Amino acid sequence: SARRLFQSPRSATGADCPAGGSSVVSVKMGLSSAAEIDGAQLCIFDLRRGQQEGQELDKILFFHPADCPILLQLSVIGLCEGIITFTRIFSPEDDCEVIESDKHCHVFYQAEPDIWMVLVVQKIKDNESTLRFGALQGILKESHSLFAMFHGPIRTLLDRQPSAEFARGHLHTFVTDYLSDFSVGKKLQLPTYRDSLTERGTVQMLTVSREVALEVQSLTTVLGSCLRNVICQSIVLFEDLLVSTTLPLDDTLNLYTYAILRLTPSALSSNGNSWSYLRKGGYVNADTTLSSANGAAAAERYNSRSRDTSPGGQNQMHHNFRPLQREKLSKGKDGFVAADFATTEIRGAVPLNPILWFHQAEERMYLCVYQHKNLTILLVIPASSLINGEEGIAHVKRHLLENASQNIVTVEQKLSRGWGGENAYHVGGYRYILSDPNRKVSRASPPGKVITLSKDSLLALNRLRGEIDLEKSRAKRSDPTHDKDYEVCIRAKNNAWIIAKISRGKELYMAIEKGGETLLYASTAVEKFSNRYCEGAFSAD
Amino acid sequence: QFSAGGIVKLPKFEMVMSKSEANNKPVLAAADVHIVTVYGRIYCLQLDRVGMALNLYRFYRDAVVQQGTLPVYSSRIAVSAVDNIIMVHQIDAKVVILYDVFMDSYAPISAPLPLLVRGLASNSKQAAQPADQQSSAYGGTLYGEGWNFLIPDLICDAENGLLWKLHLDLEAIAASTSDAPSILEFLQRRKSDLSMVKTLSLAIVRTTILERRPITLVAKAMDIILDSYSRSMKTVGGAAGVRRTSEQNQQSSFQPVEDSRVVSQEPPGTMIGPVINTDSASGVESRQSQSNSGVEHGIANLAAHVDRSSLNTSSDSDGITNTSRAVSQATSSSQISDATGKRPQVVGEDSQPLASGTSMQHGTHVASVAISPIEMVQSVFVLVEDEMMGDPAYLIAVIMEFLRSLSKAGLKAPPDLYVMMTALLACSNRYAEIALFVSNKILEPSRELAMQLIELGRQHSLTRKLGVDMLRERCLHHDYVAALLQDGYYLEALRYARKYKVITVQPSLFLEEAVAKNSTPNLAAVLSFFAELTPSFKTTLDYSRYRHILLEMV
Repeated sequence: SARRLFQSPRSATGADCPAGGSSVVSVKMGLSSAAEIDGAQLCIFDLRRGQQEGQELDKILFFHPADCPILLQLSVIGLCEGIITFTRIFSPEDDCEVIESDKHCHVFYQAEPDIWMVLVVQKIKDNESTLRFGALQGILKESHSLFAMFHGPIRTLLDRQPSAEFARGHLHTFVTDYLSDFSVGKKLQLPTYRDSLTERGTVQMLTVSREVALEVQSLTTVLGSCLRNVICQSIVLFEDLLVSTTLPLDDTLNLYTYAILRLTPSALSSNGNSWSYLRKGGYVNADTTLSSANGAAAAERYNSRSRDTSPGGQNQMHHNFRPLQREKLSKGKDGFVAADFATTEIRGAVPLNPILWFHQAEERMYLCVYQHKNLTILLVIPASSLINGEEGIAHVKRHLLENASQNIVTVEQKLSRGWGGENAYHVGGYRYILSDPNRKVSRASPPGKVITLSKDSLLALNRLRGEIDLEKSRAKRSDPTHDKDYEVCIRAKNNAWIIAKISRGKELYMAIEKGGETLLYASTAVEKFSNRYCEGAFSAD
Repeated sequence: QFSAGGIVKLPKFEMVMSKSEANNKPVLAAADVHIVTVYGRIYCLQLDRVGMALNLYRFYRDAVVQQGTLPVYSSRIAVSAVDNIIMVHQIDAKVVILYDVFMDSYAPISAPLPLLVRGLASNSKQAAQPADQQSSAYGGTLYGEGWNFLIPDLICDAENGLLWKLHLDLEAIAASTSDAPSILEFLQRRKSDLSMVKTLSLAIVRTTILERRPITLVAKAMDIILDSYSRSMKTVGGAAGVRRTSEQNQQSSFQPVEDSRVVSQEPPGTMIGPVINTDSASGVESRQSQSNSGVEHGIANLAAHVDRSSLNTSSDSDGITNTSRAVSQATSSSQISDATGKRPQVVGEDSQPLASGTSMQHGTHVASVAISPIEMVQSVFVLVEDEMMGDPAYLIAVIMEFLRSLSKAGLKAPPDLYVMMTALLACSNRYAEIALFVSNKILEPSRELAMQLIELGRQHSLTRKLGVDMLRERCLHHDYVAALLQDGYYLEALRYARKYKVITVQPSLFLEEAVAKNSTPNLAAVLSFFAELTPSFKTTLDYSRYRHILLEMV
């Protein structure tokens, strides 16, 4: 298959690579120079730009680390472009997803037509493969969809301003802020086999009783009526778990992800920590100088040109709108989480409440976040219904405090009472992840329990998940409408049972370390789990 | 010596009252003290002329407790009680203010006072006119000089020789206020005119929804209805019937209200007799005309001749014992004092502060007043649905509140409601919420709902999956296998059919799928599977047909 064509550096530098001459050169450069760079690289580039020789630099929209020499950046992107072009010969329908070489792993993601994100990860010298490309691609997907939520699609930004300074400025601040979550010192710490019982790009739900669910729904109704004429959408979270949403799947996922990263009580409290850390490390300071200066100028230009755009355009006009910047977010005395974006803005009046783009609703929305104890409420207000922006939001906030406070307190109390703590979804003896990729929902053993697994189990699990990912995408290519069922049980080196089961689109992965000897034991263990916790979804037919 | 006791003297007054329980003759003698029985409790209303207020005391077994104060707008007042409603007649102003003291609230039920005054003006005209036309004997005015107010709900017009009986025109009361929750509360407590209460209540809920009143208000309204339903369900169950009859006998001796309700329900002709037939009919008519005109303020006067002897004889000859007792008791003032005199004794028998009688009444009659969830769905949501299609979000929110009320009252919603709700959500493209509600069981699983989800799945395949999963979880094996087959998962369906011994699904359906997938080995496998499962299968037409197809494929 074209997807996994390159298993060794020898074949990657193969002379019959059909890309242009410069690409071949960069292939060699890329591989040699990438090896010199410590840690991971992430680049975003646009294949529609810089197609003439000498203008290759124009392709690059983002490169991490930012202090990487331009030549090296070009070589990495050149390699990637070459591979993309090459693999399209064999598989015009499906994108190239990953190349594995001896020392590196290139993970591809076509975020928007011809806009690619590539993550280059150095392999740790180990006999076992510790990375799972699906997990790495998850990072690319997540960062892109979050970016698009706040700034709109990259292509739109590029179309509006062909010089792309503006898009670059935003990508730079946004993705850098995003990656700061992964950075340890100067390196990026990307997901490894230790994270094989997590699934990026899924929502974790709180299980509530019917009675409480109805109570929450009644709160949602009150929240929805914060504006007189239009219904406001809302998402309710308890701790880091989703309780209810009125938004479509994708938008829910994006907002949920954002909330988990920055808005929930635990995220907010760690905001403070990382702030102090960042100050000490001085990590962000190093690379903000050059391009943010450009960005500022571009923003200024843009601002004057598109003054008359709809109010929703405001995010775009302010280069220092950084929704992922931890230190700017804090919970106010009134219970609303506010972002302090406006500090250095010349023109002032940066929206305190970010505006979101929802791709399903195709509407721009204000985001308003309210927090009561462990309950986080994300209220989404259609921008078109607020004529006077900030003032309108202040009105909505007042309305919320006046009408919903009682409901919020009740709901919080009921949820707290029913909340089983962070180990609520622990199932003794099992370490599992249960996910439904269609509905983008997952539930997993608490992290504190997963770390008790031995390295062998985790490695085996990681490997198994990788294999299943591969199988799934193969099956999807042959018949996209038909769900194929899988079941794999393996006995790992340490005698643990590693099990994967996919049934009618739902997936279950688990590790059982202190299990019995026989395969029968493993399958009854799955059966039991399925009947008790999955409503029989994985029970054998 | 306690008459006209001022506000200042209240504590002293209280003591006097408790003494009067044993010997209440002075109470009756004083024109400013009225005794009414509502909800089986005895209240004493004492007019404070100086303070222009009516003090309300409740008689407990061993204490008298002041409950509240009602304002008075007239120097002369009279008090009646109809269907557990205290009526305070403001004679000078010719108004009646209605109080429902069940929940210890002392606010008037219906409209604020100005509205009431307007209602009276028209009432005096409207009520009088038909009576004039019909009987042409009654020339007196309402609240005329000759009016004697007899407890509980009769008015004796000595000048014209007429006996009036007070009724509540629930429709008019309901129309006079826009506070839906409180009027529903009021209606649900009424025991007269049960079908009227029901239709009125349903109509009120419907209009609040159609008028898109705030959700919280609608929620409160539905809370009240379901609350009263679940209460009635609790009291109806058990051996209430046996106790009821004995209690009723006991009550009828001291509670004419109970019996007079029977009177009002029966056709006037058979009830009171031929002599007064015309009058009582005219009363009904006047009542209708009043409610049609919509300005009547809530009290219909049913005319009856005060001719005591004719009344007694006619009712005796009819042999309706309850009626005769009620009327005869009420008509003679001496008997009234008898009746009131009996009350303390009955009170003494009950160890509770007169509450047991109330609960019995509820138990026997609320069942028909109360509106079941199914009735709510049928005569509110189904009727409202078409008109609300423009704004499904509002109706969804209303149904959600209804479900919440249901769960609070421990009641189940009919599956139709869930089906309707899913349809509403789907037509506003809120599929994600359908999934959420199915997963947190707000939409309770049922076969109907599963089928609806599968139906909606034509537009949204994930929703179909929800429906199919629901079939499996509900162990609806046949439907599940059929659904799997429809999706082309014939091998999975076959495995499932084997495990759960589903033999109701036609083998040809499986075979057809296998043929459609053009898979020779699978078709052969399916064929042999059925041949083994059901020995008679080999003799069927299907077998030979698909065997033929199989041979051709090979």
